[in-house]
Amino acid sequence: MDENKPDEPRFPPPEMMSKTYERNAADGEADYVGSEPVYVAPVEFTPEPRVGEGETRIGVWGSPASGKTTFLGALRLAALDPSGPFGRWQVVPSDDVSERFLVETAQKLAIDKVFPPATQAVRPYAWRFRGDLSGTALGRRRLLRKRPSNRMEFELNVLDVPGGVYEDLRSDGLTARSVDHLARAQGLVYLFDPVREARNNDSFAFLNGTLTRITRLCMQENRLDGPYLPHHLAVCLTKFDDPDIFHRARRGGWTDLGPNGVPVVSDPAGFFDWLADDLHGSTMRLVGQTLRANFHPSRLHFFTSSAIGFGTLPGGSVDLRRFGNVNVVDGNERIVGPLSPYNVMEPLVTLLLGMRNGGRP
Amino acid sequence: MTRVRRDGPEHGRPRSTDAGYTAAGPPGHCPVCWSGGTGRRCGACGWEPEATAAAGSAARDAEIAACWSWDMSAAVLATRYLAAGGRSRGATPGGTVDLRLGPLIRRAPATAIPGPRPFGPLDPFGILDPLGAEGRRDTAAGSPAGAVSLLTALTAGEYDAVCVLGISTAGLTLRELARCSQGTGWTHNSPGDDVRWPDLAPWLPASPAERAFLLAGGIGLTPPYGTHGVPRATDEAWEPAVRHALDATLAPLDAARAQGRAVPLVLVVQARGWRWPGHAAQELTARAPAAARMFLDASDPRTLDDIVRSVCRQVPLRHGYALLTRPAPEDSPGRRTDTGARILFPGGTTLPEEGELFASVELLAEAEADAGGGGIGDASTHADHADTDEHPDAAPRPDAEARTRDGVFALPLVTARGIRTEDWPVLHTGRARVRPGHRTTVTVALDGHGQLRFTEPELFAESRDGRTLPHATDADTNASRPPRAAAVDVLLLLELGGTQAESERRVRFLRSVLRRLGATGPPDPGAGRPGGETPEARTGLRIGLVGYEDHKVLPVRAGPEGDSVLSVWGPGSAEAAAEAVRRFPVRPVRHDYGAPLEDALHAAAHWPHWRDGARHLLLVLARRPPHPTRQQSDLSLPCPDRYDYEEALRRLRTVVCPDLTVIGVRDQAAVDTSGRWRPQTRERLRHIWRDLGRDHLFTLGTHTPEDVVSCVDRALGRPAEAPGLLTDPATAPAALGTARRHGARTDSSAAPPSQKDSEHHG
Ligand SMILES: Nc1nc2c(ncn2[C@@H]2O[C@H](COP(=O)(O)OP(=O)(O)OP(=O)(O)O)[C@@H](O)[C@H]2O)c(=O)[nH]1
Ligand SMILES: [Mg+2]
Repeated sequence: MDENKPDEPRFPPPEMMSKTYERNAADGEADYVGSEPVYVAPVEFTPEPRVGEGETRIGVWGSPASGKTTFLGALRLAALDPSGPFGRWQVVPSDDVSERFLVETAQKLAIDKVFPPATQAVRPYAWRFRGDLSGTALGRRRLLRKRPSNRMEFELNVLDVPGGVYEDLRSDGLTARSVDHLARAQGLVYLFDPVREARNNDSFAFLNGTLTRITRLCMQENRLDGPYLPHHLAVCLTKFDDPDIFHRARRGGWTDLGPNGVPVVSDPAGFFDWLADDLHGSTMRLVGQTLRANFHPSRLHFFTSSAIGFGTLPGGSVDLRRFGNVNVVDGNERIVGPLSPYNVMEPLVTLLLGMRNGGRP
Repeated sequence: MTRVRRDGPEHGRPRSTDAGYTAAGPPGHCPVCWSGGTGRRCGACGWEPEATAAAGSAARDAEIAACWSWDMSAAVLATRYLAAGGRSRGATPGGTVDLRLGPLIRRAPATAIPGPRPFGPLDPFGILDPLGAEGRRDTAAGSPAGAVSLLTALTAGEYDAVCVLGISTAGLTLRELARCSQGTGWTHNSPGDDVRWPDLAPWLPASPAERAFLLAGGIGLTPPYGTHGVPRATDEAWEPAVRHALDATLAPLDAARAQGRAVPLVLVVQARGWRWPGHAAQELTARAPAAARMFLDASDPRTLDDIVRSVCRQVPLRHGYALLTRPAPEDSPGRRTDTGARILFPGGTTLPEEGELFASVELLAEAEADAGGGGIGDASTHADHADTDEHPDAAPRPDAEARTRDGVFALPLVTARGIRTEDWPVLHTGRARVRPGHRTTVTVALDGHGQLRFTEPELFAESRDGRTLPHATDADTNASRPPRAAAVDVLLLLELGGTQAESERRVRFLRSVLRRLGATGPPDPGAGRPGGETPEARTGLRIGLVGYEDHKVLPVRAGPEGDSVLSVWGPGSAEAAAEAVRRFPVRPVRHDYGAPLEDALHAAAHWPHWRDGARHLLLVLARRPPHPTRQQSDLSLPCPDRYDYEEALRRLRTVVCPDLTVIGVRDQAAVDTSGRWRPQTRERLRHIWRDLGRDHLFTLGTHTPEDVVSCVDRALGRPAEAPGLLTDPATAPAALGTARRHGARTDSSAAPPSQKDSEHHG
């Protein structure tokens, strides 16, 4: 872990550049990273106001119906997965509202098999994440570091708002509050909904204005890192279980079969760019370019995720002939079940590890 | 080799892998492209080996660069091709080099490594084009003009047929185009089997990327040449294979010409710049020169058939098409030529580049029973052209005028060939229900295959064997009617899911059909006793019912479940069935995009009561399509019982009851009223009804039970009614072309628009 001094130039050292996805490297081939995200990051800034030790603010953001609420609701269920590559985690609500949300959404998703309704009001949630990384790839990495502990604890603060508040040029109290929350967070989860993008081609309209405002706020607080925002960003291509998106990934040759018989995308960043081309005429290419322009490559992580996951066979593996997990009845989407959240904890753990490593003074 | 970058003094990189090609490069063969028999200058790639031998490391570096450039060109071609098919890995469309090909390419020159994109501006056709500079520079290389003029001559009868030889990255294909027997449209034949490259050169690697690389001319670090008994030089390895491919593919053409038929050849090379497909094109020139040639890029996603079809579109119609009408009464007070015609598409029409041509005419549905009655006898000559069936069954027929009053009219399409309208041959007669006494618009589409199709009004589906239903003018001949059957088996498949009202509507319709069938059908000896007949029963109408309700568990199930989704009744008489269908339950809908029709079809394919020697009829009354067998790219969930409706239908139509007639009745209630269905789902629905409605297709609400019964009767060899013609309200001479183009309506053309965008015309 090479910790740069805060006043050193912050452009990434060359070996870090090579870890990120790049097309047209010198020999004409893309240089790919494996499935492991990059956790190393130099010390960039001291957040203002300082959050307490182990307290982290993460903003979740995305266009309307991109799956924000479902994603948050699936967090606790995802944390229960004993085979997850992110260790064992316990999610403890910090207040009544947060508890209610977790319990209610879990009930809706897992038992009633329906999606949560569209968010109407702003809700701040706080959860304490207590994790143990022993025995995972992440844990081994931790052992080499200064603190040999595999235990982690974070307070996660999120604000669930209707996606509409992120629309370009909207200005009201709600938008201001949400954007302020995002700007003050250290980590952001940006949910990109390819299904909506394939149909409406408008995701960029929910990214551009918000990002501009976040940049302004950070500029005012002198938190910008060169041309970059100080945040760690996890870009999640949501609804990866959707047959249209999954079929595209298969057609492009981006999927492999993972250890549990569940398809994995080993190069989600490459897939993101490829999909931007495949959804010809969409704004997805702009989205990708904007994200890369605003976030430091070492703080930018891509995931393909699905809050509900693929339809599984008894035993948990996925049959590629029957993986659909959404059933439309009378025009309403329902979950076929069972729920198997896919890359829901991973983006958070990646953010947390990245921030923890890079956020120490 | 000026195009290779050599900008720097240092080229002393370790040559561990270089040794691979310089040492393995066979003596006397070109080290760059591995062609044999090189003299001072390689004929294939222009490399001058002597020069290399003479000079020192600078020349060796030049050779490295040449090899790298050669391979890179092949890799770029292969990548473009793979990317066009969406099979490239790690390279975006128009991107660089497929991930899998990178490691194959012989080492890049050392000095070029730090550069940003050493191969960027490289012209991939530069060194690999076997057709020489003029073939490449010719901007018209992809133009179909030559082929179009050949096909125009074919329609004029100058040739017996035209053969098209396709040379592509897949292999060699021969198609034979001829005129339709009616003189319109085309027949496409594949007179021989396609020859695929992997069959010709079994040593080609299995990976599509590597195979494309070698076909494009690449050598690579581990070339197959010189191993597995493959000759060491590329041309020694490929030339016999190419010659054999041409012999095999062109055998049908040679045979046709030996018989004295005039068959010119059109060459379509769909691999511009690829070394070995290009070599085949060159060989052909020496063997059987093509009368017209088209050179297209390998990345052109169209198949040979697509290309041929797009060429056919540009061939003008030799004869126009028209719709037969009855002239307005005042128009023909005393004339004996009572049949008029409205030209839909005049001769000389060409199709647009994509989509269909539409022509609309406005006609009058005359309610009076006696309107234009004189036309019937005269126009009966049309029947001779329309129907060639030899069953002069003289069954009595109900009055044609009764049908006219009923609102059913005939729409005969004719070819405008000959002098008298009465002699124009009938291509196809549609029947439709039109509101009597009103004007109605008839719209006909001319599609890319040269076929005509009514788009409005909605037609009764035609009979499957292409025979047309009679219209009033041929009723007297009683042609095209199968003999009356003694024993008839009818199986009804009924969707049970839906609201109470929807269900009642379906049941009411079905009961009405059943009662009418019972009234006209042959008596059933075992009537009223379901399953009570003796197996020997050889006569009578027997009805079976299969109702299907939605799957409870979707989509994954470990094994088959005990409880079936089917409710089965029968066989029994029509009356008993009409009673039984009332007792079928109403079930909730559990999935919007599919119902277990596949389970019901599977049951139909295994129904034990189909009798040998009886007429077989399957009537499907459904709202939703069957579940697919596997998850596709929309939200239709697959069948948990893993049944395949297509397989069941195929089995039914070929093995169980080869004479089966399928009547589809679709309930369009609540089908995509919100417009939120994905295009794939809508396409699936269209597809299934095309499949199920191949024989007869009706729509609940549009068609009546009588319409269905009349089709059933027809299939059973009972008398068919003969509707009258629509009246032409125009007083002016009838031949007024109103063809107009609706470019946007391309729903029936094969290629999605994205593919058409990338059409290459050279
Ligand atoms: N296939 C699939 N669909 C999902 C998934 N998550 C959400 N959806 C769909 O997306 C819809 C919206 O999900 P929400 O979680 O309410 O989205 P949101 O971003 O909170 O929406 P707003 O609150 O309106 O901004 C759901 O009703 C589902 O139909 C997923 O993991 N897979
Ligand atoms: Mg929400």
